[in-house]
Amino acid sequence: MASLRDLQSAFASAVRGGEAELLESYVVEDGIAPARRLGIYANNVRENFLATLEATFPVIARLAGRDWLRQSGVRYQRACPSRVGNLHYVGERYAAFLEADLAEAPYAYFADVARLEWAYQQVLVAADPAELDRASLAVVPPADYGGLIFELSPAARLVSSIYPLFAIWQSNRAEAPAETGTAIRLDAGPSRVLILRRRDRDHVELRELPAGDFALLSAIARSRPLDAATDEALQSDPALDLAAALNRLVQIGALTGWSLPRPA
Amino acid sequence: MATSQSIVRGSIPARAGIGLRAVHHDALLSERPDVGWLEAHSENYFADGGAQVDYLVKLAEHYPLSLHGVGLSLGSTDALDREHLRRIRRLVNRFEPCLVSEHVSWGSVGGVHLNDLLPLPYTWEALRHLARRVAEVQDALGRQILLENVSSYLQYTVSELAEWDFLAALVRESGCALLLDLNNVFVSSRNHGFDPIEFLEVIPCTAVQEIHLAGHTANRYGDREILIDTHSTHVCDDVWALYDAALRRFGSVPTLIEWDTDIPALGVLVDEARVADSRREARHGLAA
Repeated sequence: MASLRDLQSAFASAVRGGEAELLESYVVEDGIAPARRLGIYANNVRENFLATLEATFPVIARLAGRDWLRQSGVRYQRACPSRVGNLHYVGERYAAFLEADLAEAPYAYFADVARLEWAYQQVLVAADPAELDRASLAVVPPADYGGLIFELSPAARLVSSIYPLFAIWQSNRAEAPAETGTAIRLDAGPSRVLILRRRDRDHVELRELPAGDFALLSAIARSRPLDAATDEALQSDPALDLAAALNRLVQIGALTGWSLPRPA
Repeated sequence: MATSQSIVRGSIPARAGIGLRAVHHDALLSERPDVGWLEAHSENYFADGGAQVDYLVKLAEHYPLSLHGVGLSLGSTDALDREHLRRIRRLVNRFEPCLVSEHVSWGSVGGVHLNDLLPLPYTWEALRHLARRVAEVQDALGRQILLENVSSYLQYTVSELAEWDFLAALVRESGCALLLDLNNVFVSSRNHGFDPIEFLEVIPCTAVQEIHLAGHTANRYGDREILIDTHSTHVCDDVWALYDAALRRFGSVPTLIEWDTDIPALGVLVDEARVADSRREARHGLAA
């Protein structure tokens, strides 16, 4: 007799559109063809996945239309089936899938929109951020500032794009008016977006950051010490006022802590 | 208050609760309807922080809580997902829910998750496998869990036991309790042609610690139909009748109204919970 694992493998293959003959031999017909019975499960598996995708990528749904998202979602599910029991994570690889799937398409920018929307979902469920204790920095001797490693808020993500991502998001998010009247030019220039949930606030904010601030924060996100992070930021914006930039990032809650590793 | 809160089986009241859905978070907090308890899908509150978890914290101040998992895939032959279990444990430790439940189902194989509650074949091998995994989860959580029967749209040729015998044996083998979903019993009884009362009569009385009630729809296939467990509508008369029979057999058991698709206004769920409460009270009256 077939083992439980054989049966489960055959079931998964059949509902994912593969060979169904083996599984059908395990299914009692009882007046309704096994293929039809399996079809109910195949439908459930597809619809659960697509409904979650629609909820996760509302901006893509609005930009491209629900039908497009569903068709894309079916291809995505086939190429990148869910790897987790928690359905909320099925969108994790959608941006990478779109990047490959739409490489030559005129709407290749959907991949960046999907990255932004996935970052939004991550920020929604991230740990609640602490407040940076500014006063504690007073103990750091000025000579050691360059070694400071700031912490990016756990509820913050950075997404950059060669497309005007921030404007696209603003015009197509659920709260946006149905017709803004202004068309967005895809060649309007790059966008650098901070997605952030601030302390004691339950909503997620998006902000477009200047190039220098974005480079600084990106380096901080990679745990680079302040002097190295500053070098990277100055490459993006040679006129950057570092103190002002750090102050802005603390002010908006993007930085939530710091450490000063001991010299080796 | 419509009914007194007779506390049995831990601290969950033996009256009707409702399934907690995000669209009702605000209304529940502002209206605080008189329902006995709330049941949250564990996975909806796996977050490390943020608004969803905050809602659960606030709601838990006002209502007894049950945690109901849909994604652990206990019947799967893949290794148990330790990270998923860790997150359940974290929730259980934080909220100390009155009840914790999972499903008699599987959902993944070879690392691929189908994210559905798929029926197991009722074989001795599946029984031993599931009982081992249930015991493992109970050990990890340090408490007994409830296992829920699922609806099914097919039967396997390889099954060696009836579903009800499988459930009764699972209780014996693993020491778990049961969450008896009466809509699922009814749906499967229609789909596979068994008597739902006979199902109830084989289930050990003391094992049933929770009952689920929900609505279903029907798909037609020529002259046959298959009932589908959609949780999209009111509890039907046949399932209410089965509830009366279950109350006779299992006594006063915490009962949950579930609604997951085309979710109506909170008041509709509260009204459905009141119907369940009034049937329970009527049964108690008869029994007394």
